[in-house]
Amino acid sequence: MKRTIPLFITAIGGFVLIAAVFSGYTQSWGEVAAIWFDVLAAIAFLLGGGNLMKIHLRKISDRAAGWAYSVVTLVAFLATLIIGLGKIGVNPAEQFPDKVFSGSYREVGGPFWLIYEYAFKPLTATMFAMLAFYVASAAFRAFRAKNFEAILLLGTAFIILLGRTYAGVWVTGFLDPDGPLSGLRLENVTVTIMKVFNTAGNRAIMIGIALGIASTSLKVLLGVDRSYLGGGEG
Amino acid sequence: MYEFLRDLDRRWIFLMMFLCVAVPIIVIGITGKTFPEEPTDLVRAVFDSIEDLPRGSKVLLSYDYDPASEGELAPMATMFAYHCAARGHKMYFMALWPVGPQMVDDTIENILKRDFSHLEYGKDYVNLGYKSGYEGVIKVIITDFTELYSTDTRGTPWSAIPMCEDVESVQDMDLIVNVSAGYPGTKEWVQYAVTPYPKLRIVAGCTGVQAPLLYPYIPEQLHGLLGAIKGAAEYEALVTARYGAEMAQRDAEGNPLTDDEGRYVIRGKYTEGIRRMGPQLVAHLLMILLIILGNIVFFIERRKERRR
Amino acid sequence: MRRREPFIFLLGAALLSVVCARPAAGQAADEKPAPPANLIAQDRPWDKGEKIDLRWGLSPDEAETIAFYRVYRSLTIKDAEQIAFEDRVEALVDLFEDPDLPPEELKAAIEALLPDIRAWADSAHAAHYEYKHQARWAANALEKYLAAGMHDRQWNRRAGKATSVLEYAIPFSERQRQDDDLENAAERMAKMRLTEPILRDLFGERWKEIWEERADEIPTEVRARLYERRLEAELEAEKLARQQAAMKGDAVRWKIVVEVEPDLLDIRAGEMGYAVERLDRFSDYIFKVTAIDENGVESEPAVAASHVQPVRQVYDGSRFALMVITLLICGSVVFFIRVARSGRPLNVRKIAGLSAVDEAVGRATEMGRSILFVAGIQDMNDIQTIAGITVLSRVSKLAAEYDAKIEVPTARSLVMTAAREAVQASYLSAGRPDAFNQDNIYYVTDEQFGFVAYLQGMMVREKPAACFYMGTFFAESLILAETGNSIGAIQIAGTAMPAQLPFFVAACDYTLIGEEFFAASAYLSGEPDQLGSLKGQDVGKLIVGIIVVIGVLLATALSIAILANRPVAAAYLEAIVEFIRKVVLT
Repeated sequence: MKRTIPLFITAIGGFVLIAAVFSGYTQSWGEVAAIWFDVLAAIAFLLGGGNLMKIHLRKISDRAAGWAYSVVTLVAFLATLIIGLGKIGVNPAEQFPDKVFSGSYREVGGPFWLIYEYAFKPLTATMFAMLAFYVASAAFRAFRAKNFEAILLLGTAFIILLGRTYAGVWVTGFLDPDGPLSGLRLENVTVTIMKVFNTAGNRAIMIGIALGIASTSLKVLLGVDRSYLGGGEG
Repeated sequence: MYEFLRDLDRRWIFLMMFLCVAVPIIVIGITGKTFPEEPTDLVRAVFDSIEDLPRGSKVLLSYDYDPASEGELAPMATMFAYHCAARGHKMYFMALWPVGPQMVDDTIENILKRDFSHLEYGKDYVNLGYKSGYEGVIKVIITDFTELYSTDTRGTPWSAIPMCEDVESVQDMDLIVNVSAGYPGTKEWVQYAVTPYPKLRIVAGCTGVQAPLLYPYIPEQLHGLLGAIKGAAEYEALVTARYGAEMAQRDAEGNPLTDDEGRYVIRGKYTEGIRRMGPQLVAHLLMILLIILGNIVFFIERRKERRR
Repeated sequence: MRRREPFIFLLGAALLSVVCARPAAGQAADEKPAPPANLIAQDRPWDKGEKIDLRWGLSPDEAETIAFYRVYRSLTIKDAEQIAFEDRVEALVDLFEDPDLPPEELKAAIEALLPDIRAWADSAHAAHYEYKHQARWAANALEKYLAAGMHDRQWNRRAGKATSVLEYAIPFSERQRQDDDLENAAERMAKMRLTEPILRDLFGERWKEIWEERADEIPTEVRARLYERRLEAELEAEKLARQQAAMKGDAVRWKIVVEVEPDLLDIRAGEMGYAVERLDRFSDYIFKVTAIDENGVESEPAVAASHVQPVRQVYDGSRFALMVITLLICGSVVFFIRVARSGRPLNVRKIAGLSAVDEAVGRATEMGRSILFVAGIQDMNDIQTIAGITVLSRVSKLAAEYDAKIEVPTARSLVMTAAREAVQASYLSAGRPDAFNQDNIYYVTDEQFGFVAYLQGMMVREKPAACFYMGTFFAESLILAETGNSIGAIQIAGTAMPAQLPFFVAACDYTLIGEEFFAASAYLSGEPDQLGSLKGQDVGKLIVGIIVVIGVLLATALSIAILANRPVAAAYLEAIVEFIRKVVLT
């Protein structure tokens, strides 16, 4: 029963929504279902938040390795939650000056904005910036001309790396931009590679992915694949 | 040397990358010299899409990115807002990412309120804010805005916003401008807005990683694309060439400043993309050098193994 | 800076020539072209109720002078009723604001209007939920106000609010919007909004004085730009004023839908059609079509014989091609599942990444270190996450059998819940329910880079021996893969994000690319049902391949026909290519 009902709900819900796409009366059902999912996900956040608190409180109480990080996590989590939910330090909106909670929690200069501007933004930007370093170390370690295809790949990489900067313009700057050989200018070769070869490869991968998604979805709806529910058999 | 390269600690690579990015930034900051940018066709298409619209056209700007990709996308977001404001278009800001509204607020504060103070909120631009639902939001607002956006971010009812009175759905927009860092983003706008309603026009700016995925949609569904910071730099070059006088720094008498060659000295916030091309050039050259060194090590290793 | 005077003179000359244009001698400028014939307007069958198909015979002057055809539709006929209703609501609002009005008059006005407000809120016109709700609230508040004898101060305030809410609740009709457009244009012109920012930038607060009295102090190039912008505003206001004058006194108000030219096939057939879209299925429409010649002279209209209303049918015919393809692909998957169940052996090629799962789990067991499994950073509504969870159930079953610790940090609460269920069931089916520890599957954070920062720190501290990345990833893919590489873990990745595949391929030991990732569950289970579905996918690929080849050949033939100047062949080929592009592939 524990698995039959979810399978039943999945199958009925899935096939009804597929059929709903083909009727003018029911085409909005998909959006309604998406909104139901958002409601579920919002409620599930309580689960996740509770789990977060539990895991880190346990680490602190057990004095497990790295428990200080758990303290930082919990303090940051609770502080942001309370300041955001309580709209602490936020002025009421101009249209409703007598309503305390009418202001936007994102008000410039408020504590929540300060957390966002001076903690969240720099941290996420830092994490994203690390990609540049990792790309360089991956390039040194992994881009080896082991076979013909790898050599082609490396050549293409050089063209793109140069073509996306001023270096590409400078290297082939001697070619007339309006002449017959203008297509050999690096910036133009870059665009050709991206528009023709790269697009062709991407399209092939995307078609395969779309078919894979269709097949997997059908397996889930038909109940052929139930391992996401737990267990693989029966 | 071979052993040093073979056992190279990746921290040396990190240090080299740091220097390759930091030094050009400092040099450009001191000298103000940047590399010239020659706009490509895709970027020109973006520029023309906004420039050729009649004044007062309705432009929906969807800022679907977060602080992580702000370094790559903020310059193009800035220029989109500037270009639309300079052309006198009506700007409808929205976001499909939860932190997108902060990006919109930044743009409104730094660009519209400072350089276009005559524009009125509600008449010339409006911030509709974020709605959850990923591409579901697009599917709803493509036929009816008010089903999701009954108010703007300030709580003003839709029908009380002058510039929203004659707007029912996204189909009433003359152009969609999307700044996208991932999902949901330009692909979803193309799939769920432009494909079922081909009369819609969309141009986009995206991260470098996403750009190859969007080329299949060019030019019929996606009319122009700014790919990564390079695209932003080329777009800045076009916009500053057109509106240089208004964007230039001012002297004490309020006249636009020019350099020795007679070009306008554009204010820093409008040349972020162009200035970042310097570090990009040096970093790319470093990558090429590392690939070559890595292959040298590889070939030497292979030769040694064969000898054994 | 460029000098703009020559441009101004040219612009002025162009404007003069447009305003003062007279037809050339010998041309009968007033002679209108022959009108189109037999305009038929029909509801599009099998649609969502927003399209009307028009068909008309081409003008007899088509071959000689006709440039294009202009299609008009009437503004919704019910606008007249809507306008009357809006006027009454506005009148009621004004009454409320009059402090000297006798209460009996106000009461009578409210009583007269209440049934109409309710009828409107219940009507199909009030399609926007928010407006329906507000209008109903307003009607209830007014009713209670009347019942309270119109004396109660609380209800007085609420009733006042109700009337102002009504102003928001009733959406503007099209006619109202047009009138507003005219007012706005005039207002803009009067305020010179296009001029002010430029002058203010130059002269500060003195801008108005300088514009009105000392224009010679304005730099020439600025003056030229101002003139150009003022001209634009004047032209726009004039155009709108002309439209308004033309529409006054007209029994039916018309709106231009499109200006369309016939193609070669239409000319050969002597008739053409157009599908008018985005219509309101609760309204009647009249249509008319006129022919415009090369001089811009418009013919008499061909008016459709009767009103027509778009009707919504049960089935949306525009999705027919999608339905056929869906049935073909789904049908083939189901067919091959049945074939597989019949016992027929199905061959699936070896996928290196999946063959290495055993090796990875075994390695972790030998080294006494944990296995890290990341099911992506998206929620359960993403099919890649579901595919990741199905792979997790297989991997966790192996881990249970080998007695290895598997850790599953998640970026979504629902994924945590689903992953716990999957892993618990796997431990149970491996006969090790006691070994299951639900705290090994935990939620970290929704935030993308917060999640990867946690994973990085955890990988560097705890050094898992095997890392699985199965699901949706974005920019964090390279960070994860490089960190895993630095700690010496064996890494198997699978994702259907084409942008992230290169990073995984460069940094991981094995990568499942796109389709292989979705095949993973079938491959690892070895069940005939699931292997059959892989075969069904291949049929889909075959269909796509055939359509691509046919489309490419037709498009090439079209290009050749155009180059060889064969317009008829090109027209037919173009029609087929457009059908494939806009119907089959959409």
